[in-house]
Amino acid sequence: MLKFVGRRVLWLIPVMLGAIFIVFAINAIDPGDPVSALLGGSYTQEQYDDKKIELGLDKPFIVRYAGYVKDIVTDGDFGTSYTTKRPVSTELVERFGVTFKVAVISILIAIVLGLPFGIISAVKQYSIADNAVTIISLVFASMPGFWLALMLMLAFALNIKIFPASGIEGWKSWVLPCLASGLSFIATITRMTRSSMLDVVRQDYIRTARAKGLDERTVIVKHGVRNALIPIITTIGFQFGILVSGSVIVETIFSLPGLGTLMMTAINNRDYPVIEGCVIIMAALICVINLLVDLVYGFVDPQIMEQMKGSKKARRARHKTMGAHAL
Amino acid sequence: MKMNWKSMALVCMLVVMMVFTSACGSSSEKGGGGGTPGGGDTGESPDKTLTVGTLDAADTFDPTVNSSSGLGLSLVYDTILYRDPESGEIKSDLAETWEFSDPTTVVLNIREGIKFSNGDDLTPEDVMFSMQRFTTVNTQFDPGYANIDYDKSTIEGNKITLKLIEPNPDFLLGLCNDRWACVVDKKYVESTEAEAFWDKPVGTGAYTCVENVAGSHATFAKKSDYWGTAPESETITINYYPELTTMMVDYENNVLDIALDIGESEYNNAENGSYADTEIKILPAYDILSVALPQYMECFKDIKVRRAVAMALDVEAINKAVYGTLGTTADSILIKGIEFYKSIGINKYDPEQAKKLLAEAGYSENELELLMLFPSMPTNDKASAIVQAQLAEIGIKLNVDSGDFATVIPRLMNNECELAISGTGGGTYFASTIFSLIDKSSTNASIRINDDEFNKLVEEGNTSLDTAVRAEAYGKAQQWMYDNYWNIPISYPNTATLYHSNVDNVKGIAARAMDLKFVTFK
Amino acid sequence: MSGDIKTSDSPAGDEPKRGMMETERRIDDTRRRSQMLSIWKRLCRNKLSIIGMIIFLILVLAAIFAKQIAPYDYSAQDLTNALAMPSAEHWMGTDDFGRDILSRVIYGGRISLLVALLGIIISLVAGGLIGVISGYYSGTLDGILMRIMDVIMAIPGFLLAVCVSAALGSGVLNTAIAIAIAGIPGYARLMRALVMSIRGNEYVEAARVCGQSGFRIMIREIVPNTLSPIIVDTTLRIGAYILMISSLSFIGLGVQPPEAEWGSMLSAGRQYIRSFWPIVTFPGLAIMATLFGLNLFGDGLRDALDPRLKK
Repeated sequence: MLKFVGRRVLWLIPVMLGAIFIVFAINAIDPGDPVSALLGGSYTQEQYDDKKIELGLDKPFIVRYAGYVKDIVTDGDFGTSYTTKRPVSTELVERFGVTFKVAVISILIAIVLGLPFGIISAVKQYSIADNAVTIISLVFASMPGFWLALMLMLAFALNIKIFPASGIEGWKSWVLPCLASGLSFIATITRMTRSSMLDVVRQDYIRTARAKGLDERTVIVKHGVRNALIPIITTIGFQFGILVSGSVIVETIFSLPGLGTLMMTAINNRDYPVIEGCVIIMAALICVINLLVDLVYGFVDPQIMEQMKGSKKARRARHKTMGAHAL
Repeated sequence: MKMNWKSMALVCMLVVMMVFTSACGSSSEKGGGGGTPGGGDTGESPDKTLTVGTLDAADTFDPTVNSSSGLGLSLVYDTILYRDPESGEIKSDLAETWEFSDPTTVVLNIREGIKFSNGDDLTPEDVMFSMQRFTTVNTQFDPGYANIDYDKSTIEGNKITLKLIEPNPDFLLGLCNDRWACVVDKKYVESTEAEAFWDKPVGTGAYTCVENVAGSHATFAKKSDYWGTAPESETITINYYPELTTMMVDYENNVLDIALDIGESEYNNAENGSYADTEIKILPAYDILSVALPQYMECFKDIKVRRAVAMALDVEAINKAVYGTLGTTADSILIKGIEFYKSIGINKYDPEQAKKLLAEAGYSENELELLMLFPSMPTNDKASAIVQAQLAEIGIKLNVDSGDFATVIPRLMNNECELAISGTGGGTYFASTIFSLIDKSSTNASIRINDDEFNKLVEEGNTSLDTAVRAEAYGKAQQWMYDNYWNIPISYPNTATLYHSNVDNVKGIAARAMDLKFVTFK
Repeated sequence: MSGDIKTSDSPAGDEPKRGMMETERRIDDTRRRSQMLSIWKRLCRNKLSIIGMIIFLILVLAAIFAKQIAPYDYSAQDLTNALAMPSAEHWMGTDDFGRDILSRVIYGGRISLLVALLGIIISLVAGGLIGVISGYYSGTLDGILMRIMDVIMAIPGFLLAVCVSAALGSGVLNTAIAIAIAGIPGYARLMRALVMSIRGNEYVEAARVCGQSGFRIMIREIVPNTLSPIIVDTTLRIGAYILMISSLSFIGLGVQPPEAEWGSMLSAGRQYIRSFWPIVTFPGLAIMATLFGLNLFGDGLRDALDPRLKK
């Protein structure tokens, strides 16, 4: 067991190194030029050269990459922002909490709302309620996140003034952004719950429970929910990735000071250290969450743990069935 | 048993998530003079808190680095001199007296007895240090301090004698700049790391910075021992919004007292009464949108071609489409309202004549093809589309290409642009600055004018201390441009700022250079 | 997909073996065809998935015949009539440049489909090649390639697309490349798994014994067998890709004006959200309708392929 955990944690290292490499490479082929962006509209060749040396951009790719990795590992130093001249690590730490919080709350909202809908849908299979729930959840799953965010803000912050439109003051400001992020996940959870519940209804132990005279509804719900939670936990890992990357848009619309807005500003300014820092932190966060999810999953169902320990292929096969949505 | 494991594991996970959620929460929250929306809160706060919204981003308090929101700079620092927003006169700030003893010598007397927020005394060394930093530490801005010969300049007691390398009659006005003339504490800056500039600046200004939260807001508290006139607001909060709609929603809900530079669509909404209890302040943006013909283009060497291009442009229509109610059609290459601006005349629009001239110059229909290249911005995008259509009318094919700043600038430096559209970026208060973008010293080749006659006039205006001489020289330069069609001015954009009727004295030279410390409550 | 015999380079003595191969292949083909038929039947029985198919069909037709259907050119400006409310002349109103919104929505569909398809082709070719090579040759090459795929998957897809799009700039081809890169690992894994399962087939072994080149085997066996899983995967992807394209355009990357793209239309209309609703409503509805149809279709397809999953 420990070996399994150890292996997974160690595996994070080459993955992160590779991720850093990819981001570095992307920045290197970028024709956009941070030196020009910083110098403003016009400059002399001399100013350009000086600035380039100042930013360390005159060194070759591999040298910069190696230096960057070394700094992160030894000092936790992610470099200095080109535009604000602050250490990138400071900015990352400041903004991290907001993004993380939005992601977590979105997932919780999705589970809290998705489960009951899925249960209703399964219990009243093929009824109007079932079809209605399916269609509504599909509608929400089809809404682009940014559009939903705009509409929510219009409706609930502008016209019916229940929630604030910006900032992070008080619990109310989290409602709209988290709803906008999480609504499409609700559809997935509803559907998963529904199919798991339907599975359960046919199981033998339900018949036994019925025979014993236990309240059918309670039994179904209890077992169905437990059964449904397994695939749900599995997708949390994926969904987290989608949520964190979608935060770029939601945060901009709701003016939340998170990693998303930081990254967008950095991209516009070609602030490479910040861009790299953001992507690395987000990737690391998602990897860690995936690891935790796999561990919990293993705890919850020891059979799966065996499968996981044994063959990575099986895990990949599981991931594959979750669909292509998790890009 | 399986059941227990499962439930326990799930509970554990949920608990972990809850803990993370609460622990990771940001400690600081956006302030506001009325945090909960709606209600009858009119923004009146018994403790006189002023909340201002801006679309700029939070930025450092280092004057040599700050490129976004300069509002906080004027709260935390004082400048050497001060320019009255209404009369335009130079008034005293940290310098008690100021004068040109000769065209290249400036003498300033710095006030005595002023202390920085950390107790250090203000000395003339601090003033000199603040200016010199622009030439040594971070050199991306050039407020004219590179023109000072630091070796020959001297400090005696509280008198500074600055020796300028080239004469610059606008130098004193430059010492009023709300961003670049801020005076920092030499001792403090030299003993702390650059990071301290983010939220622990030390200045002589009326306020101290309580917190500066990136992507969110900045809060300032009034100093009890400010040497100047005590401002009314006890606390000032500046909210930074990445999204205009969000700012307007907060303004409507009375979270904001002032919303700065709201743009044309919201200005129209305000004019139509969408916002209750609101006053509107229009200020020029000190920007100019113009189309420039690069002098390195062969086709433009013929004045007939240039004139044809000029006459094809209906600048009134462009102005209306791009800026709508918030734009003034331009009638000179200098911005209306600045010193030495002279109304020369709006660009003549005559497409028929333009076609004739083009034919006379030897170009058949659609033979001339040009590339317009610029950093993508809503104003540039719109204007270029209209210019494209208008030039098509007279038989010139214009291809439009844009991209973000970082991608386009290197291409521009490569002379890829064949017809330029440009603005100054706002905040250009001086004729000399505007001309420096166009004259032979300009680093932008697509706009640079090399003609001797023009440059001579500009130089004369830039160096003479006699206002009458300057006015005449600059006036002639503006006329020259009108007669020679190298640069066709289109619009002077304006900015609209909204504020609720509970505040007064909302004034400043420009919207983003608002003097928040003068705002009073009714 | 055919059972036609192609002359090979092997000596005449292998005729009987080849004949056996052919029969096996023909049996497989028939099995496959009847499978496809039953899948199709199941698909048609599901009402919801039919609705999805119809919506998708409308999208494709509108994209192909955009020029004929759209009342105006998508870039035709009329500045005197900017921000006009929906009327008889402009069913969806005009935007801030006076361009007809309905026409731009229609052309936007074309661009979205075009970029998505381009992206899928790039993903498929690159990912497929990697997967096939990986699955067929196994060993260290497989290990290395799959590790690289894992690293790419570690970076959230949209984030990767944002970085690449920012680096390459806006435009149809650049956006297609940006979204394709994030999708490569998915296809790679799929192809790899499929190839590995096919590799074990007897007639593949037989073909190799006969001396046919590995490459030929791959082409002849793999392509037909992987078609249906790939079609399913692709259908599920189109929607996700379209959403990513709109998201990229929304934040200023992706496809920008004057091209008509739903995401950038929404972004440009943001500042008018309170005074002029058409510009932020119609493009959004278009995206929603498209994704809705594709989701229905995709779900129906998945159910049709494995009815066990549904029940």
